[in-house]
Amino acid sequence: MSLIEVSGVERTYRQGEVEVHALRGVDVTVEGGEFSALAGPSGSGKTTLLNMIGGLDSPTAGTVDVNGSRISDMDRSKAADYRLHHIGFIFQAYNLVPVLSAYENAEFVMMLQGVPKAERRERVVPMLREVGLEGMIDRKPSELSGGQQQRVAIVRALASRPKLILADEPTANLDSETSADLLDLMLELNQEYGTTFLFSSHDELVLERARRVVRLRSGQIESDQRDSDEQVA
Amino acid sequence: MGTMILKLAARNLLRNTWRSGLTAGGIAVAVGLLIWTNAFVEGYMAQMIEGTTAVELGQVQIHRGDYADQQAIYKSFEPKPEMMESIRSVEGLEAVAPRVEFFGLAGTERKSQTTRILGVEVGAEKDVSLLDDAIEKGRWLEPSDQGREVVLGQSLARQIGVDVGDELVVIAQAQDGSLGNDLLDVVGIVKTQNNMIDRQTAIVPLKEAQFLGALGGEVHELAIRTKKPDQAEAVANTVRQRLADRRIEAIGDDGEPKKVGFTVQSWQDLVPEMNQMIQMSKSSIWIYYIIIYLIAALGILNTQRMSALERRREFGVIQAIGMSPGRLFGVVMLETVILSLFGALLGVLAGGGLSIYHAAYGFDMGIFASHDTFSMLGVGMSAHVYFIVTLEGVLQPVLALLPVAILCGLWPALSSANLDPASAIAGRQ
Repeated sequence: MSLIEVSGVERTYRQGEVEVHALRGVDVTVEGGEFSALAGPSGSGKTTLLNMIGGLDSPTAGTVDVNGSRISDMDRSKAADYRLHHIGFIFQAYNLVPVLSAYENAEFVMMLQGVPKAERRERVVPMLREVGLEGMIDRKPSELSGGQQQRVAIVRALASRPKLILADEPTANLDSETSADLLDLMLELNQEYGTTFLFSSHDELVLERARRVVRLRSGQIESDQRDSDEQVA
Repeated sequence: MGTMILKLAARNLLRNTWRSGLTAGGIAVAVGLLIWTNAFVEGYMAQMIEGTTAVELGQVQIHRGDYADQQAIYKSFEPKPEMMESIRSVEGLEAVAPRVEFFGLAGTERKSQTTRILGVEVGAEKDVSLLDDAIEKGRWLEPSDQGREVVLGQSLARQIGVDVGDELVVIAQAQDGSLGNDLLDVVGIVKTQNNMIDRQTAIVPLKEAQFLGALGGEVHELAIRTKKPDQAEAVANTVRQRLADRRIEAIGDDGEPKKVGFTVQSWQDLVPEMNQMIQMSKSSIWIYYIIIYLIAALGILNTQRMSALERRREFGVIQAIGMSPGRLFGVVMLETVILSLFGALLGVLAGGGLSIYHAAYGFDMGIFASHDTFSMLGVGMSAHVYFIVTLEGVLQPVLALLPVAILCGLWPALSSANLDPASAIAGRQ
């Protein structure tokens, strides 16, 4: 069984008087441990598809299963609980809680999970050190650079040990050097922990490192390319 | 988890210290004002009760059962020692004093006036009323109770044209139909702000009044002072129970012999209009509560709504990474409650502190009255109000604030919990 199974997903919403078809019958599967990317121009439906997989949005038609659970049928509370225990998120604009320190942000998801304080510390401190934030753990997000904030966001997503990390345009606000560093870091973490990464991006740096790139256009899958250059769809 | 949620709520409030500070300040003013008002009303009402009861009325009065229908001189009774002992032992009772009261004529060879003659047992009366404290000129009656002397109300003395040191002729129809008269020395003038006393009353020793009215050892009234004014009804009830089976032989208005009991009335029964006014004043405080808390509620609602709208994206992220809508609702509600309780604490300190100050040094209402004392419903009132701070008066505004705060927090909390995380993160409405 695949980690992610998206079958016949359609998403239609109204924007004023206009009916927008964000996704038109998308079928895709992702296996555990993949380091994959959804690519495509703005409005192609990649963020909508990522939101469907993360249970942040519901399809108009079709189903989404993650790790054997039909996330597309879950209500808001159940979907939140599912995300809490199985999915990590990394966002474009870092999106840390501004009143919490780097350390507190990093342990936030585990705190919601009810992980004991000592265990949280045991997991977070080495990871923050590993991403180069040693000595900065008590700083507030406003005292960190964009790259440093995104590192905290990565630790926040990874520290709770989810099966899947969904990253929506994680390098969009970063310079190319920082972006490359972070992508290398995520690749290392993917290899070290076996965590599945699924990006939504049109950044070439991301697409270069992804072992699989699913291209979308106008809400449909245009191509599905793996490292071996083998065309899947 | 709880600690983190509490920390998150508290830190969020500190994000915009000016806004949170102003809102907490507004709440503090509202709570403080209500605590101050409660203490003022308690003090003012106590002063009104004291003004009504302390000068002469007492907190409880005992009369013959048929006295209330027609206050005739012959409707007297003998205060037997065992009856007095039974009354004195009632819990909450401070003192009891016998009185004689009837109308006669007081005057000089030039001028006379219908006068209420009040006979008091000088020693006992001091423990029940403040008549002796109201001496404006001269002195109070001799404690021996034997003097042929009189203390007059200020206006009465002026109307008759007598002063301290003058002689006063008093004539009255006694209970046996004879005409009692005596020549008394005016030894003092009282000024109480109580119209009945100042304009109509001549106070004489009990024995002198009994002599004038040919009453022997009988009296018309037993006046009781309770240890606290709010014990009046409880003391009246107990005395009523103790005198319930007691009957005296009497002659009715129709001239026929009959047996009559006793009537026991608290000051609330004796001056119901004053009691109603006090109850109404206490109830009307809720109008202040509604007005003041309505204004405070708008402040709280505005702050929390603005704060929630500003953090829409953040709330979207927090829900996306796994915080349930219910938990987020709790965080926003907790912020509202913390902000309100912090404001309430400041209000308790400010309002409570000011009230304690006014309880100790009084609050000068001179701006509303041109004299140090004034008369209200015929009752003497001081323009200096001493507040009474009660635990209820302090806690009530705080407890009343809680549902207001919760109601104010509901809208921002519900809209935060119900937001669509994907739209919120993308910055869409």
